[in-house]
Amino acid sequence: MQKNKKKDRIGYLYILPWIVGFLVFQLYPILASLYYSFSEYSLIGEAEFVGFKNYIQIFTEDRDFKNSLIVTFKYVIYSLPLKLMFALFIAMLLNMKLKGINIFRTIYYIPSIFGGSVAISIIWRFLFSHEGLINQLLAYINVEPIAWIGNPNLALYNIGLLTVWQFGSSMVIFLAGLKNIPEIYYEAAKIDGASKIKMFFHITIPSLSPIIFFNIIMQMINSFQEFTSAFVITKGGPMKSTYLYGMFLYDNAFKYFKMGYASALSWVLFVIILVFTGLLFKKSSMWVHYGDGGDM
Amino acid sequence: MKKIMSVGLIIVLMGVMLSGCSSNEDSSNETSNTTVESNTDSTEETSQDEKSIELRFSWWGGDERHEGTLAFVDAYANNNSSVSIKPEYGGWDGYYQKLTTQLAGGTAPDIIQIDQPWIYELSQNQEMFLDLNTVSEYIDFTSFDENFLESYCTIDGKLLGLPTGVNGVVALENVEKLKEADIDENIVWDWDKLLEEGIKYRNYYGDENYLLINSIEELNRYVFQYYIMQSTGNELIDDAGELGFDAADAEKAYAYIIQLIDNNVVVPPEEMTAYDGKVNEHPKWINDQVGMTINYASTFPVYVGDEGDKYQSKRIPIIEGTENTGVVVRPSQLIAINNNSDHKEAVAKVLNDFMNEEESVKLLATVRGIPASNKAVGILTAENAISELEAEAIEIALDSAGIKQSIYVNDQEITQLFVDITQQVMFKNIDPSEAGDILVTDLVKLIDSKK
Repeated sequence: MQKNKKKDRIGYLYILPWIVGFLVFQLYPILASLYYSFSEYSLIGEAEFVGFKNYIQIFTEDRDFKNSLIVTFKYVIYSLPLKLMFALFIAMLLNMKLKGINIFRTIYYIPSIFGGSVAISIIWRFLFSHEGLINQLLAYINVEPIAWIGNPNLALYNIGLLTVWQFGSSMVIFLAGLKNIPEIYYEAAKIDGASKIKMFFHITIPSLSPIIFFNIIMQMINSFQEFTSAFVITKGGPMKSTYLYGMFLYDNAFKYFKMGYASALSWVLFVIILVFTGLLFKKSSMWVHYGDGGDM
Repeated sequence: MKKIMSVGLIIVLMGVMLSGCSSNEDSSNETSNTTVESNTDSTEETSQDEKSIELRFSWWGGDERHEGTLAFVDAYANNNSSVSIKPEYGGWDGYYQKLTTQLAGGTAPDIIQIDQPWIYELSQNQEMFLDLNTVSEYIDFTSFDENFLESYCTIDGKLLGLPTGVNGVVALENVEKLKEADIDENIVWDWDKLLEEGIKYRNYYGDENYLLINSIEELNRYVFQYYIMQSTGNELIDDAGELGFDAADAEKAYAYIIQLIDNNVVVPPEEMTAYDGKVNEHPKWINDQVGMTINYASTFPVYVGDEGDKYQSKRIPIIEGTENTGVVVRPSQLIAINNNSDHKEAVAKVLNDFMNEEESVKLLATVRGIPASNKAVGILTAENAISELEAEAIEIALDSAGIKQSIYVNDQEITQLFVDITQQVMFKNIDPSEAGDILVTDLVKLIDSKK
């Protein structure tokens, strides 16, 4: 009995650093933001408790809230499948056994390291502005310049390209998954005369389904919170057509000094993401196959 | 062999990672628009025991301002062995957000360059900045205009910062471009002439050429808001929060902007969306396809670069005989002292040196515009160190100054409301009369929530 207690204590000691970090850097901020969401807090003053006022204002009065939600949903629906399909496609290419394939894997991962930065925004403007490189190339085939960033109908799809371009982390995970598919499945299918396409849809995809599921969840959670591409390229414009929820939250917190309101906004987002993640999990048993035949 | 290689690689990796973690990034801010990075002066002595006090000084600006201010920092360290100044500088983008976070967390620098409107926001609940009257024995205030200090730097009798320079809204003209298009070099602008000559300019130069270039936010401020103020002769929003205009006034102003767009006098909004605060980086400005822009005189150095003689300053369009030109004349920036600083005395001395000492004034020259301290102006004029373009601009601005704007006009949320609606109008999403109604209704509601 005593020996177990001693072992327990040592165990706790080992995980103490993580526990402290968790309490200070994760649990405390989460609880603090919950408290702030029920108060008015301008960051440079004291927080004043106001009950549900922020939440009521969000759902009844704020026009930007509705707009930002719609913009963010559009963004997720557009960029998420595109990014994953692209990542899978590149992963399959990089799965080939070629000499020097490792160098290519590194090169294709590099865009993801750039993140969002002023350098990116300058490059983006250089490419997509009215006189940018893309329009200049289009001019060679006699196409009128297109307002990629300036047209409210196009801008959102344009900044979505930034996240698609940074597919590196999804690609690496897909690559790992691809390597785990036993060769014998493909060999058996080949013997039975299956075409490459059939093999893809009936072997690759089902075997990868846990990985696809994982990537969908992770990337969806990230997409809902997307901020940098909007902030760095269009600042939410034109006419709030790229005013992602993340930017809307940022403006309220750091531009208008309404920390309490911004905290409330972040909790609303949390609930939304929670709901979607829950839905995805529920439906997952229909299409996700785990190798051991077990269920979630 | 493999083992040696992998061990070697690990050591190299660790070395790279550790060096990456410890040193501060070298800030290579080419333009005034990069994000703020803090930078330690690499030439500072490592033996800090001789320097008993270290003060942190933060500012934003372009390359010229960084050079001048760093020269000041170095010179001060050389002349005062017990004090060293640690510079923290970067571009305008993100500076305010960083500062407010630092102030909230108690990690703000000792000496802070701030934009004048911020003193209102930042003194609402707490005294963020030191009342300079309490350290008056160390600072000579006589070189500043009393009224200027009173109007712009003082709240409730507390002097919260000293003005670095005088700034005002002026038009910047490309002399050759206008001359060639047969526009009178000495033309005195008003809104009708702007439209007329703009059409002339376009007809002469053809496609992709426009008389005026300004971002959507700038058009909202310098064209839409000024048009209203000049037409009504009132303040936009007075100190009590009352609007100085009605929906009909707004409608007329919006209609004017539509005319500018439809007649190709101003660069279309679709081409300006990514360029707020960065019009000088716009290809059309760089390629001389536009004739003029309207902005604060302190921004002119970034617009003209080395080619100062190509340009001249002009008074912005003004309706003759109006009671309120709307032209803003205000301190370029303020230098304030952090109220939580541990070395208030030392900082006050630095501030005095910055503003009044001859050597410092010469080093700093006009990197923050024409100085507000007339002592400094005297020193620089004797040295011929004041750029003609900027000196001219400030004179023009002072001549055409309008009624001082209330704090409501500079409030971020209110500004955003104006910009949103102006944008909708410019993109032809709503028509001017609809916009006028929405503006007035929403504005009143928003102002009420702030009272």
